[in-house]
Parts: sequence; structure tokens; C-alpha cells
Amino acid sequence: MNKPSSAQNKKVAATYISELPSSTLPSPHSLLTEQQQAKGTDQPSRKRQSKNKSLLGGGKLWFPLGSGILFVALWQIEVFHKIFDLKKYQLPLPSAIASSIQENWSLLLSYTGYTLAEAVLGMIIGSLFGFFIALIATASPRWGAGSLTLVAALNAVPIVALAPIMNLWFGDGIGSRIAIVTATTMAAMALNAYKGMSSVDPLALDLMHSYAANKGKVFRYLRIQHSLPYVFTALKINATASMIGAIVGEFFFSSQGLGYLLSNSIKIAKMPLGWSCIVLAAIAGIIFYMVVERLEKVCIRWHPSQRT
Amino acid sequence: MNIQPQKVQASLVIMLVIMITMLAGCGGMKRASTDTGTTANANEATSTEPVTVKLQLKWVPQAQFAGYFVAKDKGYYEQEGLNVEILPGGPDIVPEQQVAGGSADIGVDWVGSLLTSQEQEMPLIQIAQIFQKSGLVVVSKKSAGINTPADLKGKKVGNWMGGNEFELLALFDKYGLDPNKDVSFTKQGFTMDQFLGGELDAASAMTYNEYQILLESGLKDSDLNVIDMNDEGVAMLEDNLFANKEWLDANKETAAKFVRASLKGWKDAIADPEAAVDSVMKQAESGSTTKEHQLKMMQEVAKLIQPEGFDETKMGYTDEKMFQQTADIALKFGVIKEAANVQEAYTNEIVDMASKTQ
Repeated sequence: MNKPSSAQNKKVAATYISELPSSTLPSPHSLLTEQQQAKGTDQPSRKRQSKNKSLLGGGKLWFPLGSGILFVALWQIEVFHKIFDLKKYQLPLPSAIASSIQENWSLLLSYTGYTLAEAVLGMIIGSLFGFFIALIATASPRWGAGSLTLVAALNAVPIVALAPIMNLWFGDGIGSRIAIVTATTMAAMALNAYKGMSSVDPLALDLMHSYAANKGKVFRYLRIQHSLPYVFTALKINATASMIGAIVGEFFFSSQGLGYLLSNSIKIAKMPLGWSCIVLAAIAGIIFYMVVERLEKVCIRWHPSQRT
Repeated sequence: MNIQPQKVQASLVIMLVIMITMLAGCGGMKRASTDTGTTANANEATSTEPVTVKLQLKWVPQAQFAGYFVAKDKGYYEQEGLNVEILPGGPDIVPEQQVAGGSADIGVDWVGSLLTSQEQEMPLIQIAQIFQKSGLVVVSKKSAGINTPADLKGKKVGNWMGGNEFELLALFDKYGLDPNKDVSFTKQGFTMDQFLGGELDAASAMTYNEYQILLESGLKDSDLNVIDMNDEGVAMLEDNLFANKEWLDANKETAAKFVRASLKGWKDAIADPEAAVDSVMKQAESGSTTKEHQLKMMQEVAKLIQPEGFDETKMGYTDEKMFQQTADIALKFGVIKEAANVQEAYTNEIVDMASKTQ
């Protein structure tokens, strides 16, 4: 018999993984009835959804948006100040924050770009390192298993301790903050990718064995593909963790960036400017997260979580 | 049959609004009760036991604050019936915020940051001006070729920021330098390592602290170019004593006693620097500084508290002209956006009370 081509291997393996249920293989008959049942229960909810859309322009959006506006309105008329007995310098009004954003727009924008660059670059480098560690740990468990524990231990080191060390190693430029973000994002990626690479279904491994696939091919077509959903989970976690790492790293040794501006504004009593930094950091973090989510939709279209 | 989700959502919103209005009512009542509580306590305490006064320093214990350590050591505060707690400062401690928030009663900081805090409606008022002259200078090695402030263009200039940068910002503005574009305005650490290592072309230094560190590390006066803020006309008043307005209104006598004892301590410190350094070294973190460095600091600080030609009886008084000059510089160079209300920013009433019953 001919050895199956690598392309065939890939196709079979991919389809096998994506359609693999958690329990036993279903018979074609039961699959069909499941689909029919699914279609049956779908109908009433679809009708309700379309009704909502026509009436309130997307019912799902109205409630969060409305409560958000209500929250800001309450804040502006100082309801929270009365409840928690706060002064205006402890919690600036949204109008003061908005005017501060407007006045310092170019500065805030350039600093946001700076901090975002730190976060993105650090996350990419850290994720690459983490993935590499997971690869080693899966490929040779004898030598690699210890590295996972090391990476987890590194994750436990607080940024407060990392910042001065990175500052000594990389100077007080952008390099030291990228190093901090790298250190804090390695662990999530390493652990998630390792889980993805090692939790392959034994039946899939048997199939590859039956195709006489060597270890490299098993990695290429099975393990790495299987780890992609986990990798994207780690990327989503790292997206937010990297923003935190970049901003906190800037608190200690930096002359630029949102973290520096935030900590300095508080010290020189420019509270609205500090809060503007918080607002912009939140927006940047959300955008970063949404980009990663979009990337996930594009890259792992075959995964059940993207198909339901 | 089914509870419509929209009805549930609407009732949740209504419940939330009711909860918030109830909390608002309770919150208002709580604030009223705590206000009456503190004033009652203040009136009672002045009669018998020593009154506790918390002093928030601008930085860690050093000869810059010698007067307070001497006053505590020699028992001047005790004689006035005060139990003074001296709270050390640090990199993330802002004295104005500690005093405004009530964690301390009186604070030591620079007038520039007091003005910006007052602009943000913090209830603070200055009760004494201790340092009459600014001690901030910009040092550079002669090899960097910064002979005039205009030469700072394109160079890496350092400052500790966090409220200490205002005189430099005024200097940049005077010479038409944009701190974000024309100058690389960098955050300086607490040591002079960045300057000594060549990372900074020009660094900020206090005449009584960092400048002495440079001399101790082997550099000589002849190796350094110094830009003095006083000579450039951009100097702002520095170390002062300020208090929480609400606390002060209820505790004027206590504040006057504190100022009286503190000025006594300062006079002693200036007259006998060695003994002052002993008091300071008791409070300083062991290993953080040396007696020689503190002695140098004490001698330099004395020059700032009592500059040449200064009337000694006026120690602690806020000079109206100089405060106005500081406020004008702050306004002109963008430290504060609107002109400060100088009449309400400081008061000499407490120093007057302090000098009367001497």
C-alpha cells in the first residue's frame, strides 16, 4: 500500500480532531436527529430576536449602553461623592476628565502608543518564549518538565521586584518595560500551550501511528494544531496582563508612557489627568483584547467554540 | 407563562436606583456625625493629656528636617503639651494628600506643590515658611559644555518629578525650551548614579544633599557647571509647614504651640549643627547615610533657612512678596492654570501666635 501523503495526513488529522466528541463516536443516524432537534428549538428564539432588533435597534446593546450612560450621569451629579463621602480631588467629575483628555490629547495619544508598544512587543516576545518552553516540555518530558515549574515560579515574582532588576539589566529605556512584560506573559502561554500539546486524544495519536508519522510530523500536524485554541486563550489572558505589566513597570522607572503620567499626575495633584490616563489605558486594553479575539476567530475557524 | 426578561431588567434598574438614593441619604447622615465627633474630641483633649500632632515629612529623616528632630529630642514639644509623631516621607508619599486626607495634621513640602494641590480644591493652608531660599540647582559636568541654560537644548536633563520639577519647567519656559521636544526631560532616581555614570547630561541636585554627594564621590566644584534657580529668577519657595484647614480651625492653639517648639528646635539646630546631626542620626535608617554627610547637609540647610541679611526674628514667617513671586512664577510657567488666591493660600497668624507667648 502507498504511504499516505503529508497533505492527506493533515486533512485527516484536522477533521478527526475537530469532529471528535468528548465521549464515544456517534452513529450517523444519531447525528442527524440531533441536528433536526437543534433546528426545532431554534425557531421561537429566532423570531423573538428579530422582533427585538426591529423594535429597539438591537435589544442586546440598549441595556448595557443605557446603564453606562446612567452611571456616568450619576457620577457627574456627584451621587457617588455623597454616598462615599468623597471630595472632588479624590474622584474628579467626568466633565473635568473629559476636558483634561481634550487639553492633553496629543500627549496622551503619544504616551498611549508608547505603552501599547511596550505591551504588544513584550507580549509577542513573552508568548514566543512561552510557546518554545511548552514545545521543549512536550518534546522531551524528561528534560523539559522542570522548565514549566521554573516559568510558573517566575510568574509569581511580583512586578515590584522585577522592575528594578530589569532596569539594571536593560537601562531605563523602553527595553526594561518590554522585559517586564515578557517575564509576566511567559507563564500563561507556556502552561496553556503545554496543556494543548499534551492533551491530544490517544485515538488521534494512534491514527498518526498507523500512518507511520514520525515525532516531528506528529508535532506539526497534530499537537501544534491542537494547541492553537489553548494558545489563543493564553493570548487573551496575556493581552490584559501585558497592559498591567507595562503600566506598573512604568510606575517605577520611566519618563514616558501612561503609567509614568498616571503616577506623576497623582503626585502633582493633577487628578483629572491621572484619570484620563486610566480611561485611555482601559480603552487601549479593550482594543488590544478585541484584536486578539478577532485574530482567534480568523485563525481557528475549525474549532467548535467558533462554530456554535 | 414566562417572565419576560425585559420586565425583570426594568425592575432591577428601579431597585438599583432606590438603593442608591437610600445610600445617599445614609451617607450624608454619617458625614454630619463624624464632623461633630472630631471637633468635640479636639476641645476635650487640649485640657489634660498631651495632644497628638502628626507631622508628615517630605522625605526620609535627614538634616533637612533637623529642627523637628531636635525639638522632639530636647523635649520642646513635650513642654508645650504636645505628643508629636514624625511620619517619614518616601518616593510614593505625597504630604499634601496625607494632610488633606487626615492621615497627618501638618506637613512639610514645597510651595509649588502646595499651590497645585490648592488649585485642586484640597483644604490646605500654609502656616509657616521655613526655608527662605531655594536650594535647587542643575549640575552638569564641564565636559558636557552646558555653560548657560540655553545650552540645555537637546540634552538629557533629569529631575525627580512628582512635584519637584516646577522650577526646572519655569527655567525651560524662560529660555523657550519645550520639555517634551527640545529637552529630554527624564525622571531621575534618588541616587546620583545616572549622572555619575553619564546617562544624564544635567541632573537636578539640592545644594544640601545631592550636590554634596557629588563632592563626596570625588568630583570637585571646578569640574561642575551649576545653574542656580535663584540666579535665574525662577526660584520658588521650598520647605514650608502647611496644615489641613478644617483641623487648623479647630486646633489653632495646638498649631501655634507646634510652630513655637519647631522654630525653637530649628534655632538650636542652626546654632549647634553637631548636636542636631546626633538627633537626626537617631531617627535615620541605619546605614542609609553618614554623620559627615548629615553635618554637611545641616550646614547647607542653615544657609537656606537664614540666608545672608535675613532678620532672625522673622524665621518661619511667610514673606508676602516672595510668596507672591512664587505664585506668579507658578502661574506664568503653567504650574497652575489660574492665579492663586494668595490671601487664602497662607497665613502668618499661627507664627504670630507662636512668637507672642515666648
